[in-house]
Formats: sequence, structure tokens, C-alpha cells
Amino acid sequence: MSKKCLTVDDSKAVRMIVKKAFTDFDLEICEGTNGVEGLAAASKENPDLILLDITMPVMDGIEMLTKLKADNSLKHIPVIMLTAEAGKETVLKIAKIGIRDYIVKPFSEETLIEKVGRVIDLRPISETQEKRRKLTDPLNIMLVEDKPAIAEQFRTGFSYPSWKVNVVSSTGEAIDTAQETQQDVVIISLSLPHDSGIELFRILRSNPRHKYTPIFALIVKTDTHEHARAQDTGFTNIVTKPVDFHELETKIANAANLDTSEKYFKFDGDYLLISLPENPSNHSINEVNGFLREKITKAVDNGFRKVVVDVHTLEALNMNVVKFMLDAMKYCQELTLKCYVVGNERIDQEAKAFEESKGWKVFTSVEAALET
Amino acid sequence: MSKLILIPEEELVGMMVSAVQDVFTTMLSMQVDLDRHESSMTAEESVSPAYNSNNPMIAANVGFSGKIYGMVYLCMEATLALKLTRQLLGMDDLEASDHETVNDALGELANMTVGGFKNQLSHKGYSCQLTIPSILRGTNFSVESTSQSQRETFYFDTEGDAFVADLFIRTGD
Repeated sequence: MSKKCLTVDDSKAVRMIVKKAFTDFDLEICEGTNGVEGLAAASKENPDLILLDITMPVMDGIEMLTKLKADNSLKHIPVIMLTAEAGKETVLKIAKIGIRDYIVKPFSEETLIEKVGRVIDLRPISETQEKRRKLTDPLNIMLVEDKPAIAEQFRTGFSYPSWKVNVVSSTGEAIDTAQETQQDVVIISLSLPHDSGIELFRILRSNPRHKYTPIFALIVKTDTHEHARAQDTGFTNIVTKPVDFHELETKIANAANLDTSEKYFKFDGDYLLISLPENPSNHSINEVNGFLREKITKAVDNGFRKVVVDVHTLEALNMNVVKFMLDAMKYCQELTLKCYVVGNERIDQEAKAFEESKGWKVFTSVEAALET
Repeated sequence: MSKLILIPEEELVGMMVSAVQDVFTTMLSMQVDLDRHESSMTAEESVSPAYNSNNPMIAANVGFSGKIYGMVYLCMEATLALKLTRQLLGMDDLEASDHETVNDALGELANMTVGGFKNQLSHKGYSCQLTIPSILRGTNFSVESTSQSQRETFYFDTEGDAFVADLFIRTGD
């Protein structure tokens, strides 16, 4: 459920700045332009936090804070003062009434996010979006690596052109880049000088903006000591050199909670095509299976009558694949869809070896299957 | 003639410059430099308008009162005010005719600037509180001081645009 923040300030500009600062977070902002409106909004909205100015017409922030803390139903709401008033006497007076923090104007967006993040759990909006992003949607990946050759591999290694790799070579640059642009995934080389990769991980994690960003450690495959250190530090996952980009794409898709179904499912013309990869791992089979019922149901909803399961690139048919195909056939039967198998001679032969699949008709092409 | 405020002039200048620079760098990511500074003690001395222009002008002012009283006018051409508002709010397409938004943004910039200045006064023992901002629009106007106040006029430059921070200040009765 979204968190809610009430900003009480007579300045529309400040309210707009607050709203803009939290655009990337799952935080609903409600507003009041003075203490009276602030108290009414606090009662109505029951926010998780109030950002409160002091100098306001009608009722100032000190009076509103005093009334808020005297009200049993509202006094639990944490308050952060956001004000240009920072005189010692004022600050002491307010501190006695009870506040969680004090932000003095002028303030940077980062300070605001950091202080609010200490009071409420700020989650990036991408994480809570009902509609998951697809593999082919834009994705910002920041690589922190000081070796140009490896950086170049990353620039050209991914198969999705919409994935943008921002290469930085130092921790300072990484912090600046992460502040300027929300990164979806961060990959940090642990071979940076002075152990700065681990330090950078800790700095990023302590910032509410990156609290939930997937951060991978990039290390040499055979370096077991670094593996253990990366795991102990709390990296989301580990990428080993030499980099297998196919495997890395899967890890990124999982960590960034991307919808990977388009890798396997395609609605084409009047049929749904399900394609298995060349050498599907158990993980891949489970992944495809996770989408199976939803996609077949969608095919019915869209008025499709045929489903083609294409396994012609498979080197061998194993029990996991057979079980997956039986599931697909079962769902199709339940929804009165016709299901066709496309394979090759070898798959045809191997299918006959299993009791469950010996009666399958295996077509040699999608076109041949659709002609029947 | 002796000054009304017992704060050395160079300190007062430093306080205002740091208050203005703090707001411009933090909120607007803009460089700002002090071009020159003028000090005047009498109404006659301060009659000449510091920022008259045939172009539309905006002056945002915020006062402070307590152990010390005063008022600061941030005065600039409307085109600069629009530029600052766009920068502050990240609204590149904001129209010059949107007076409400520009007024509000300028009022807030003045509030932050005077707040920064006033907080430094408080740390020197002159505790005081801010007033709410107000906006003055027009062409060829001047702001004049009374004989009871000390006036310090600061001429700033921000990336090629000029503006003035005009301080009127006096101690409490």
C-alpha cells in the first residue's frame, strides 16, 4: 500500500518541489497551505508523515504542531519541519513539542529524500507498479568499472537495445550518476582500487533512493574469497568474469522484476506461439510454466483458436520439457484450443520413447502445423 | 555617520552573500557572484533607485522582526524571475503570463534567502522571526529607506543576469 505524506506550506513552489522530489517513489503527496488546512488534511488523510513549514498565514506551523501533538488521534504522526526558520530559540521551542527531524530551507532534493526515507519506508514506484516492465522496455544499468575493455563488453553485450549501460569508472562518478538518474540495476566491479566497490555498495544502500535497487558484484569467476565477501556484504547477486550475458540478462530480469514472458510467448496472427530456448534449464522451464495458464487464457480472450508449442531448437527432449508440454496441452484442452507441437526428427523420435508423449504428432514447421 | 547595527560591514556583506549563494546553488544549481555593494545611512543618500528599468520588474520582499527589524527586497527583471522559476520548479514550458506561479516562486526564494540571513543574525544574538513574503511588480520604481534604517544594497550577477538584494535594517526600540 502506498505511503502518504502531507506537506503543509503556504508556498505552492515548495509543495511542487516536494511532489517532484518523490516522483520516483510510491509516495502519495497531499497538501495543506496553512495550519488549519494541515490539521484538517491530517485528520482526513491519516498520513504517514507531515512536512511542516513554520511561517504561514492563518495558522503557523508551531501552532499546528502544538494542536497536532495535543490530539490523541493525530499525535502519532511523525513530523519533519521544512522551514527557513532555523533560529536557535525557534528550533528549541519546536523540539520540545516533538518532531522527528528538521530540514532548513534551502534544501536539496537528496536531503529531503534521505530524511523522509529515515522516517518512512520509501519504495521505488517501479517496484510497486501493477503492470510489470517488459524485457524490451528501457532499463538503466550503471556499471562501475575502471577497465575499458570490460566496459566495452557491457556496452555491446546485451541483446536488448533498450537497455542503456552507463559506464562510470570511480565511486564519485557513480554516486553523482545515481543521484542524477534513477538506476534500475547497478553492477559494481570489486576490483576497483582501495576496496572502493564495497564502500560504494554501502553508500548506495544507505540512500533511500537506492535502498531497493538491485546491486550486483562483478568478480572473477575463480575468486572464491571475493564471492564470499560479496555475499556477506549483501549484494543482490554476483556476475562473474568472463561474463555470460545471456545468464546476466536472466539475473537482471529477475532482480528488476521484469516481465520475461515475451521471450517465450508471441501472439501472431490468429495463434499463440510458445517457443522454448535451445537448452532450457529447469529455471527456464519453470519461468515459462509460470506464464503458461495466463497466456493461454489471454489467447482465448483474444479470440485465438490455436496454440503452437515450438521446440524445434531443442537438442534433446527430457522429462521436464515433456511435463511442460503436457501442461500446455491440458490448458488448451480445458479451454477448447487446438495445440500443435513443432519439432524435428530427433524430437519426434524421442517423444515416442516416453509413454506420455508417444502419441504426439510432431510437425516440422509452424506453417505445416497451422495448415492442418 | 556611524552604523545603526553593531555588526561589522564586511560580516554583514558576508552574511548576505552566503545567504544568496546558498539558495542559488542549492535550489537552482546556479552560480551567483557579488558585483558590488553600497551602503547608505540617510533617506537622501538612498533615494536613487537601485534597480530602475524600463523593462517589467519584480521585487519579492520578506521582513524579519524581533531584537532586530528589517526587510529584504530581491529585485530583478521579470525575464530573470521567469528563468529562476522555471529552474526552481523544473518547468521549462512555464509561461511569463503565469504571474501566480512566478510570484510564489520568487516569494519562496526571498523567504529562503532572508531566512538564511536572519538565521545568521539569530546566531549573533539578534533573534527575530520572518514575515510572509509579498511581491511588487512594475517598471521604473524605486524603494526608499526612512532615516531610521540602515540600507545595504547588494548587486549580484547570476550567469550574465543582474539582480539586487536590498537590505533595510534597524535595531529594536
